[in-house]
Amino acid sequence: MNSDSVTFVVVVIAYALLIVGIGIWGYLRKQNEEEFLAASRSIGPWVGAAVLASAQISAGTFVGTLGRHYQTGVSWIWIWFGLWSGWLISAIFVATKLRRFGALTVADYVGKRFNSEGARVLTAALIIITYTIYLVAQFQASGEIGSSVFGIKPIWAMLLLAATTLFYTLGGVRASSYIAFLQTIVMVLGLVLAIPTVLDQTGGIVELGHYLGSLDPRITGWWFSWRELVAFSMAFGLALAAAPYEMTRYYSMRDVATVRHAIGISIGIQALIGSGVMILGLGMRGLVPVLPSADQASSVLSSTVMSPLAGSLFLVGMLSAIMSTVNSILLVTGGAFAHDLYKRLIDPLASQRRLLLVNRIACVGLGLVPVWFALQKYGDVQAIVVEQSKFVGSFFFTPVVLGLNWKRGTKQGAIAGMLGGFVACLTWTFTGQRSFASHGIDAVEVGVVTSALLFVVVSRLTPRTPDANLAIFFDPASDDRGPSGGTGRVAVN
Amino acid sequence: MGFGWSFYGFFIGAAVWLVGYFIWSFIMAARDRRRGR
Repeated sequence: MNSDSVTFVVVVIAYALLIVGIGIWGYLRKQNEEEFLAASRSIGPWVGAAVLASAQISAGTFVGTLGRHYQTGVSWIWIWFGLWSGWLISAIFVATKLRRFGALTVADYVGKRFNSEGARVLTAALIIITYTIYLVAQFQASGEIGSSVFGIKPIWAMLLLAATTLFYTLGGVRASSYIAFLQTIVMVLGLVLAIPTVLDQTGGIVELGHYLGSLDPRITGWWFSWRELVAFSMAFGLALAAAPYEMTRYYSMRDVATVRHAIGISIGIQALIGSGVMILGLGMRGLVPVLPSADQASSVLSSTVMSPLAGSLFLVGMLSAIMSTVNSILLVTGGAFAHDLYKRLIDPLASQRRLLLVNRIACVGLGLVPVWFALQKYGDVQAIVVEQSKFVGSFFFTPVVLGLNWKRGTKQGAIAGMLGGFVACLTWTFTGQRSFASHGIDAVEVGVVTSALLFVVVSRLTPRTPDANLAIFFDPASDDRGPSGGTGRVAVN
Repeated sequence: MGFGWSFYGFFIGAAVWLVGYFIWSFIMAARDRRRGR
């Protein structure tokens, strides 16, 4: 092992030990389900913002998005506005009401709002399925990094990442939130160190632009058409507006004002990281124009372009992005399994201790299943993330965003909307109809429109949801209960 | 031909987006405070 490799290994091990230490601290704290899943509603705006940003910034960003910029140039950056539109919808129409509701899982909201255990169970099942797909992309990225930076087999890189992340996930949301804060600092630091190095080697941003423009004008201009960018943006924005792994984090924040501020700070962090990733992708195209796979651009950057120490920090930034997302997703899928499936269907009288145990076992199981799928390598990382986002938007946007803002929505409408949106997106995707060239209509658009139509039509034809279930979401008196000061929690059992 | 509107426009758009968001966020916080929440 040469000195560069030693630097990489030392930095990565030090980082792993630090987060495992915080995880142990979290594990040893006295816990109940509310502390494990919502940190007793105590997270402030800065840590909250880091949590939201780090859950959003994933392998899809550091590996997939960087690779996409490497391959296609600048124009992919505009999909961030689609994502931020999703954040805006979430801040205005979703976050406030959900935080005032103050439950533990997203399926809690569905169960209460629509007065339906069936809708709750369906939500939990769809969340587990779609987010397991999302984890495949994260593990696939860790395999790419492991093989190209450390020269180890992808399976070992995936298992190491899964083991470390699982370890601190078992410490619950409080430990995970503090680790996410640390990880966000590391991600930003990694980019801040990488950008000057790359720009220095390319002769500066203006020179880089001229060089890339001479390779192909679309790299510095518009590789994607506006139609394509709008479709991709819609996929990300619609999925984000109702993303369970972000929504559950609202529950852990102090109050409604904290959630709003956290979302804004989080958008700032995303802008910083998104633009940094774009510049690095473009810089790598200038420095190493031909790579076997665009997904390798980020790991080649850290291992050969940067100095060992800066490269190590960038690598740790990449690992942070992957781990924080895996962590957020495992907290959601584990919670969905224990709180919404096990407790409802298998053991309604389960003690807090048993629920915590089931939650932790579910996290381990749901964390290891995607590793096998990741080894099959179905597509590039960004492609998997985009496809998964389309499914989440298709089945979940309507019951969350319409459900929180239209009183007439019913459980039958919600179930029809979720199933219809999911099936429509699936059908459109796997029958080859998604090609822009042939139809110009994307799967997410078909999924969301189908879901919304079914939700509205079926709701109109079925009995109203009882007022008692709607009060916490629509009654102004309930609004005044919640807020910046109180917890606004209601019983969800 | 170097970077153009697709590159620099993003930074301008992001800055406008952030300023707009925080103005809204602080207006909402002030409204909450006025209502005693």
